[in-house]
Amino acid sequence: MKKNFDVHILKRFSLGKYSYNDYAEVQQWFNQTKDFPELKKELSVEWEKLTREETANKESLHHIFEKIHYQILLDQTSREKKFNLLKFYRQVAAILLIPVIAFLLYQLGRNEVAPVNTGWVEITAPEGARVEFFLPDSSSGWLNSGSKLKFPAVFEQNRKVQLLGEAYFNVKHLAESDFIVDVSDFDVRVLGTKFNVASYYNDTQTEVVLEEGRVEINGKSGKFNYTMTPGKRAIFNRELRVLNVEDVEAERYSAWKDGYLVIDQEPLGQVLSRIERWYNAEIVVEDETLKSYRFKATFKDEPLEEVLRLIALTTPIKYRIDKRELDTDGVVKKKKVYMKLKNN
Amino acid sequence: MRIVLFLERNSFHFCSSVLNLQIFVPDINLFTHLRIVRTNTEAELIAGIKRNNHDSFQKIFEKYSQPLYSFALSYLKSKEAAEDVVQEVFIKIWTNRKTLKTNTSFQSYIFTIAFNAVRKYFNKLAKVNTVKHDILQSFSGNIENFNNDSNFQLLLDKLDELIEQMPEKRKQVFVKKKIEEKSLKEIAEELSITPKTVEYHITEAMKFLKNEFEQLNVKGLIFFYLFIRN
Repeated sequence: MKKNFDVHILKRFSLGKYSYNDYAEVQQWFNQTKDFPELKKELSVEWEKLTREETANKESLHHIFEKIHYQILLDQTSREKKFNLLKFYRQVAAILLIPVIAFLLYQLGRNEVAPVNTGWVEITAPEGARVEFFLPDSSSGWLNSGSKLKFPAVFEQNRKVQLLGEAYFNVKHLAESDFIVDVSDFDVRVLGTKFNVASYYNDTQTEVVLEEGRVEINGKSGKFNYTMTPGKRAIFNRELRVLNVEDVEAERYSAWKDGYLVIDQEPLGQVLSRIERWYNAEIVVEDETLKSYRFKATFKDEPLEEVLRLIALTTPIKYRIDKRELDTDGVVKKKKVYMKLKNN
Repeated sequence: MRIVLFLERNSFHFCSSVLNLQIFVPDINLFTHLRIVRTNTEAELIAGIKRNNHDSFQKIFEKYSQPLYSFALSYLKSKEAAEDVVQEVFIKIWTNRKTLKTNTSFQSYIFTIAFNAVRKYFNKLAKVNTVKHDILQSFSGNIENFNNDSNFQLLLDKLDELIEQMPEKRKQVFVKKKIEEKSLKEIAEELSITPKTVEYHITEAMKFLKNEFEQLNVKGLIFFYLFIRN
């Protein structure tokens, strides 16, 4: 085989009209780039040409960007989790140190000690992302888009956490200690179980869906007290201040933690607020009648554009997506989508 | 000139899609300050990426992803591999964002990463292509002519297309045996079938391919000196 670099062969190859013998040559150059510096040089010329070209009307590569973004978010979460665990342990260590010092001081027969200052841990899942969390008692769960969970760095007798938004809990059963989720409308008292709680401030309701075990719902002012069994969904209507219970398929309500967006015969009006949070977008419905259209669909890892496209395929809906604008302060706004009835 | 303002509070960035997970310790003063970032020239976009700005990152992606994809595709001849290169290059840019330089050519910076990625995938694909070459050559009457014919890419594509057309089980067996070069025994175990059945599938698959290529040859869709033998 020749040991020379031939730019014509490379050209033929890049254009896709080449023989196996051509390929064997190119393969050699790629394999031993040190011996053939001409290859890199020629490729850099090609690259420069490509970057100068107009790239209109080619297939969109946006799905690759979505993948990259997803990868970046994943890396970031795991890194930040590690970082914060370290911080958390440091904090625990610092807290543990105080009683030790106190004891030593006491031994010396001296002063009283300052009260222990316990820290609160707060986890936030921004819109468009989901976060897995682990609590100090080895309970775990998932936090859905735009939600916040607050819990003491060290649990006391009762384990009490505060939730704003939606979360799925897998609570470790401890005989001595109750686990309580505090949402704006009521407390959920748990005895080792799996369940989903959704209490977004801009929704009209707060709901609890029980997958396994037993939970108790206690109204804030002692107004109601209800014990749930698995497969039930309790919905508290904030306007009417009443609690309703229905039978459901519980897994469907926690499918979001595995990355599924499940829509089951729900009116568009309800679906949209979930899609908005899921994709961190704003959706404007231009025809009120649209809100009563019902859907059934399950999406996994689909970009917003694809979800909208599929909805538009099955219903007489037209939509357009606005370019992301800057508001008067120069902050980038959310993606905005407009929906209206197709007139035919 | 467009102005983007972004807020920074502690290490908490209010970028739309940045994920935050953080611990608040009481008694720490949260301080807030404002920064003005102009996003227009490439150097400014790079500076934005260095400050974790996802929008700058997206703008850089929009600018370079298409040429990068075409570049990778012309040397790798595989859409999947070209997409992988695009993904790999941009993840690398993001991971190394703190060390990006705003004063040197970003275009040649991308080239360095892209060249290495393309080279890596090229060498990976070379193994498979050699194996495919051997399969194709086995159908050919005149090996020298075959190796000199400028339709090699066309034949590779046709081979992939025909493999896709095989029944599921046969396809699996064929790919494992001929492309991944596994032994009869290994394949038999993996698919829990007898080695005899594996052999049968291979024979049938080769017969099918040979037949299809012969027909293409007769129709003049492929060059003439294939299959002169037999």
